[in-house]
Amino acid sequence: MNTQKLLEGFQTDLVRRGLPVDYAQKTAAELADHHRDLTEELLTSGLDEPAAATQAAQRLGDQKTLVKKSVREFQRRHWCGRWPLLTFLFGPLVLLITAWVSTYLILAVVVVSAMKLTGIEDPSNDGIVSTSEYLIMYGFIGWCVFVMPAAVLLFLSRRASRAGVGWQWITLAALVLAVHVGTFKCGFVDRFPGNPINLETGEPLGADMVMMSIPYFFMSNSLHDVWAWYASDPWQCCQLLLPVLVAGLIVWRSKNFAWRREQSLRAMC
Amino acid sequence: MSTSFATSKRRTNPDFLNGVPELVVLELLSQRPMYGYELVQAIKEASGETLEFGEGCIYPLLHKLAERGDLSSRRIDVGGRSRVVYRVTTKGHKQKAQSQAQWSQVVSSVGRILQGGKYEHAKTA
Repeated sequence: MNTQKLLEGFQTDLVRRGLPVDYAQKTAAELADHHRDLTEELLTSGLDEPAAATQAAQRLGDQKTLVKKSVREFQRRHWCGRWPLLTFLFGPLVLLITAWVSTYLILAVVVVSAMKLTGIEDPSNDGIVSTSEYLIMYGFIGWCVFVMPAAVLLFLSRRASRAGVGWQWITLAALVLAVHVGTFKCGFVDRFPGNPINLETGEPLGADMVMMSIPYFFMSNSLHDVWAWYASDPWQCCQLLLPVLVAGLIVWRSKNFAWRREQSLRAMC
Repeated sequence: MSTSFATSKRRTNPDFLNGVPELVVLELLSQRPMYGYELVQAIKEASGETLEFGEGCIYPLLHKLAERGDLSSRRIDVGGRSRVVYRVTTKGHKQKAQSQAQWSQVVSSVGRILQGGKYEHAKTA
């Protein structure tokens, strides 16, 4: 193979795999220097120029191996590149739960302090759900089940992009988040017909409550139950699909970006 | 660096060679600053051509060591051509000493085992 083409292919391959352009250029420049030195060495040993160039390219190593080694070494510089399974399989849950707990604690501290300072009593004790209470609660739930999973996914995708880690890992993280977030059923009692009774008194619970429920399909082996849980209403479907959609957008954007960088690199070559 | 013994057909490291290419590179560069091609020649020469590898594979390793701060690199003119020359930093010297000590320990332990060593004595005692 023509050496110039090999080096150009090497560069574009690195960029396509998500490595920075300047890193790809630097490595290709060093390989070009090395190839020239090898060719000169082989020419002085008596080989003609085409044979020397071919042998020099062989000694340099094949493109696939060089790309693989470069990508691997680059990924190993980053924690998520060294431990992708840990980062993208368990990381999303750890990050999401940490974010949830932090939000809850911050909100609790802020709300309790504000109530103590202003002397206002808990307005949710009156048994009536006002529009503002609906808005606040759904805002909080939306924050927890939509905004935070998206933020976790964006955070992980930035890490992945810095480390040149493939889109497959982002997809895995998105699926983990989707299944996990979709597991929760949250909202006011009107989303849970038949459920809201006080187990001690047997009386219906008031309408001013938010429920977070674990799925009953854990106790069932039926796939239909799983499907029924996730597809029970549009809200539940959104919980499941949002991380997947966000991941789709991230992957599409990064592929588009890599393609544009590749084109500009080709233009420079 | 993908090293292999010249007598073997495989082009990947046997597991026990993990970390050895780094040690070899640090040792040779601590003797004098070198650029990639020069370093590859030095490895071949110093190992009596026992270590054989795709020469381009030295660069990912050099970049990793430079990123870690064990090496510093500068593009300078050598022999009328501009080349990236690598040298060992203070941190690299410390890392080399540490790796060397570990390597010596491994070699002496394996040597003891291969020669029958203490375990055999303990068993017969």
